[in-house]
Amino acid sequence: MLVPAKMAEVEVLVHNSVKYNVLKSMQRGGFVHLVHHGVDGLANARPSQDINEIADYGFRMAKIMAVLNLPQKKMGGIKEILNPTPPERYEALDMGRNEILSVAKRVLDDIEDQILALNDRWEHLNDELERVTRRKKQIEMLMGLDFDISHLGEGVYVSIIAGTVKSIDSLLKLKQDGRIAIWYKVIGKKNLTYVTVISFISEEKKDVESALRFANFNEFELAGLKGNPFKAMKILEKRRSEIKNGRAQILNEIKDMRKKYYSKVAALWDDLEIEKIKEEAQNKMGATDFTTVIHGFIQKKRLDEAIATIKNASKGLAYIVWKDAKGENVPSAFDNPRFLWPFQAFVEMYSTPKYGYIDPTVIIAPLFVAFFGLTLGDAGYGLIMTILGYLLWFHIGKYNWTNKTLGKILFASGISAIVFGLIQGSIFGPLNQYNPLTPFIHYKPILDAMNNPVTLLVIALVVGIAQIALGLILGAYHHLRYRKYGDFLTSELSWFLILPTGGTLIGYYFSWWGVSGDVLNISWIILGLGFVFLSGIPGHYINKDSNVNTMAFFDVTGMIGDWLSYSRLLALDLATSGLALTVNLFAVIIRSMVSGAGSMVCCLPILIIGFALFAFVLHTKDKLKIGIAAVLLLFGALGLISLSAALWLFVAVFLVVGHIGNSILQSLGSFVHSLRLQYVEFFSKFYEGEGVKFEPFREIRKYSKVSKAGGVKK
Amino acid sequence: MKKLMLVLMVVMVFALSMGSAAYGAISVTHNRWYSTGEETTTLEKTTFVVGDSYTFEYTENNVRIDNITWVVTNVKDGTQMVYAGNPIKISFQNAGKYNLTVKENGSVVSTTPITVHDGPLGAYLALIGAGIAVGASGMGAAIGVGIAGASGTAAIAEDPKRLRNALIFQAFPQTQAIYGLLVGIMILMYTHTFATSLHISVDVPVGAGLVALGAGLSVGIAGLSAIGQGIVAGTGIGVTRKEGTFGKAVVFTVLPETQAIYGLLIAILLLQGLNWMMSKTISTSYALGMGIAAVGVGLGMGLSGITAIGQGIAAAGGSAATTQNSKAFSSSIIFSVLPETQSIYALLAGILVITAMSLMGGIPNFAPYQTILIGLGVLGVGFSVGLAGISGIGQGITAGAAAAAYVKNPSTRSRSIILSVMSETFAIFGLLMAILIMMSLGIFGG
Repeated sequence: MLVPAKMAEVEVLVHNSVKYNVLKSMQRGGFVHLVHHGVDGLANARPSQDINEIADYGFRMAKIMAVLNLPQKKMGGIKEILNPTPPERYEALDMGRNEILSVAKRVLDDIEDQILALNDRWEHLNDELERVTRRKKQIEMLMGLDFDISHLGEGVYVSIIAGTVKSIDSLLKLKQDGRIAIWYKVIGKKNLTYVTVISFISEEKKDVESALRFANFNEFELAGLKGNPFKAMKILEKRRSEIKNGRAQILNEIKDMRKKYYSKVAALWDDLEIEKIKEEAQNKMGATDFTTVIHGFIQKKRLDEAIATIKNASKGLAYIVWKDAKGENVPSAFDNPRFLWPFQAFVEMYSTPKYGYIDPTVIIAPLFVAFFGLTLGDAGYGLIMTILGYLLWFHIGKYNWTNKTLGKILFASGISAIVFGLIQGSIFGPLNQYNPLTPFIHYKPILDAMNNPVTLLVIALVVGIAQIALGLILGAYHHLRYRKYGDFLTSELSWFLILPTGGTLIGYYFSWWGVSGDVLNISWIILGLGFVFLSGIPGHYINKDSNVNTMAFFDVTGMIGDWLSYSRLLALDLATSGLALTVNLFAVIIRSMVSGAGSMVCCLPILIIGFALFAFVLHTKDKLKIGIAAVLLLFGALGLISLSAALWLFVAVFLVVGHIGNSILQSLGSFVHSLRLQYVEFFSKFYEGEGVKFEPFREIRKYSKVSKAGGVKK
Repeated sequence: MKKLMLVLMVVMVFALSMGSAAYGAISVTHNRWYSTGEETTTLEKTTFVVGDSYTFEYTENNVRIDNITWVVTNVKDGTQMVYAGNPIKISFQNAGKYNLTVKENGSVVSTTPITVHDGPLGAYLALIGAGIAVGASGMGAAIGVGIAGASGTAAIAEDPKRLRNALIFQAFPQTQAIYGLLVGIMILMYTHTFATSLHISVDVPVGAGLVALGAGLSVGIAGLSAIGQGIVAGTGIGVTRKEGTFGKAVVFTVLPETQAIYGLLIAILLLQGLNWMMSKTISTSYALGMGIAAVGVGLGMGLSGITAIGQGIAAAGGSAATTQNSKAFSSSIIFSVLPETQSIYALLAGILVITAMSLMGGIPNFAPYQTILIGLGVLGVGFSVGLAGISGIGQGITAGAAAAAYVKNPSTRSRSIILSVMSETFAIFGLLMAILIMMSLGIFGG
């Protein structure tokens, strides 16, 4: 639990006749992390000739899936967020390579042309719809200019064009000179746009084009339409309706096809991807004329199962050797109980632990939860986070690993905040005269941080020095285990000497405690010895690999900084309580300030504004704007009936919004600062990251599952 | 009948004797130190305030009497101040309850209890503290939020869906303003100046006002750290274009908030002292010395908080480096926290001064007048660690580049750390000078 899973380094020499079976069993078992064979002089295995066919079929299947998904609507809304639709999973058959390719070919032969033809029709109608929509906008602009649109175009002697210009002056000058005829209308309020129909003889074409460029002319493309704009609009609307019907018909056809074929296509796509991974893994393997060398790492707890699986698949034509894994390149897999899995993400985000070194998940999980609780320190806010965590865990993140993991962490952290909040007597702010809950809940808190911050500061600093000391112990474990005695002297033993004696001396000189003369002298001697070790000179003498510590002074300031950094536990806790108190205080002030005003003075303007806004935004169909207007109306109307009721409602809304906002902001701070204390102050003492992540060679199915015995889990 | 006449005569004689007795009165002219105007009223109607001077005049039947001695006795410790003359000008140095005794030719004429208040001056100073807390931190937050917002607008121009991420990152530099607002409101609450007419009802010692000013300076100026946080938040918005970078970018973004947290911490510790001062009656000299020291502590912590701009630059470099190569995360974190040390020096110096000067409550172990002088010396401590702490900006520039260099060539790590810590030398000079000043003042090592 405190170190990554033990690994065995495995080499398998397999006869090529059973190679596919062995790879398939390895992939399905998902127990081996493949690495390069590393045998000098041995050529790498090459992908088989099937790879091109696999890639081609996979690409075509993906295209078909994209077409078949066209009718699928993306679900939205609160209901979908809280109860998401489970992802589609289809039954996959347990097939071999040849069978997969042959089924894929047959499916493609059967449906590909039909589906691609549907897609062509779909795209064609979309293009046309876009064109019709664009033309409708242009015709709409031409409404009121009564002319036959079929006259537009370039003739032998005369040209007629329609379009918009930003400036009309140059064109009017041409008209004055009798060189063009122009009909126009103005649209827009601030940025005026002129919709124009211009007629000119061919001899004037060059000058007219020049003037049009100057006027920023944007020509309408209306070829093929006839009649006046009103009639043309009718034609376009009819065509638009036909296109929409055509699109709906195509979607229905695709829907039918999807029902029949999607499950098969999706499962085949998964199969083809799995085959592709098999082929891509070949370049890590070594090849002789008749055999293949597979080299990798298997977790020791699964080694027996893995060997039996390989032997079974190879029918005796595989030679397996293994040894305990050692070295820098051994992959690292977490080996923690299930309840700690969410917190592995924190360690992984920092850096994968190095094999053979400490995996601190089990340490940081409880500390993170405790720090979050302490820094949030409010039972009400903790309750909000617990509920949010529950929703993420069991509803929103039901089919989403990231949300589910976050939900689990937030759930535990929220409960921690409830506990610390109750200890500190803070439920939506301290339980004082400003807190609306005080009449219902009042008790003497065990630790009142607002009135006695020093006690909490001391607790924070004690927790800090304890965690730092734990980090140093873990660092010492690493150095002693790998016989780096020099580094142990410089990095850990020095601090084991400096921290207690330094603390004793500081306490003595600040008169916090008394110390006898002998203890004082011994403390000074041990402290001096600690600094000698910290310099790195004795360490370098013992072990030449251990460097002299030229940054010893900065190590001292850094250590003090790391320790004092834990004071943020107190500061953040007080920030939460203080801001919650501020919200409560403002609520009281609002109540006292507004209650002096009469209901007509106070509520009539709100009601009028609400009415005006409602009338103004009703046509926009914007839910937010309509909601705001409705709230104003509600407050205004309620206030005229009973000012007191409106005030209480307003104060209640203020409290709810204020506390939810504050809880989210403070929780974000608590979350990240609790994490920072692990990363910066704790990990720096011992953590050996930059390990190789254990990534097993395995089947990854996005859309399907094999339900037969030995199949892939969902 | 004779008896009745006798009674009437006795009553008349008594009445006549009463009417002809000397009628003594004390009038007081109040000279406010900040005002040229004077106000004369009776003793009972006068509000006595530390620092103001009062002209006492004893009259009998509206005639000033000579040979008057005034004895002011401190009720708490019995100490007496004796003044001869009429009229006489008296200025009270300490708040508390006194008995004012008037003697004419050595005989006691009257004894009147009076209360000397601290007056509202401290409250005005506290209001300045509240203003700085909110104003300076708001300025920092606004600049930081603006920088992040600029990056956000660029991001949504590329992809409108990135608005959510942009808003999250933009929220980080807002925290400093919230800390400032929190301390501002706490100052108003602790000094009872929340929507109150100060000149009538508030009684805040000048020392307490200075402590509030120190708290405001600490959280307010340290709030400028939001500028650094805005820089790294802006980078965070940029780098989260790439999948899987959000968590790491958030960790980098939160780093330059540490200075604001330290500023808040010092402010809260000082507010403890303020609360204590408001509940006790202490000598004005002690309160003044402690108040000036609090200003020094606040200045030191606040100014050193500006180092967060350097940390922001370093963290922005780290965030970008990690996006290029996720394995650079741990090294980039180390580079990014280097410019944090400056504020830790200020925090350390601040805590030492707070402890030595009993700024969280209690009387310092110094003579009253000496406390004022030490307080002035602490201003030097604050300037030393505070201004030298800004060296973190230089360190941040190097550290940010070091993170980028690490991605190019990981072997540069230790050498880059050496280059980065060079700028810290000046912060160490600041800490050294602060320690030397504290030793001179007798509040460290003795």
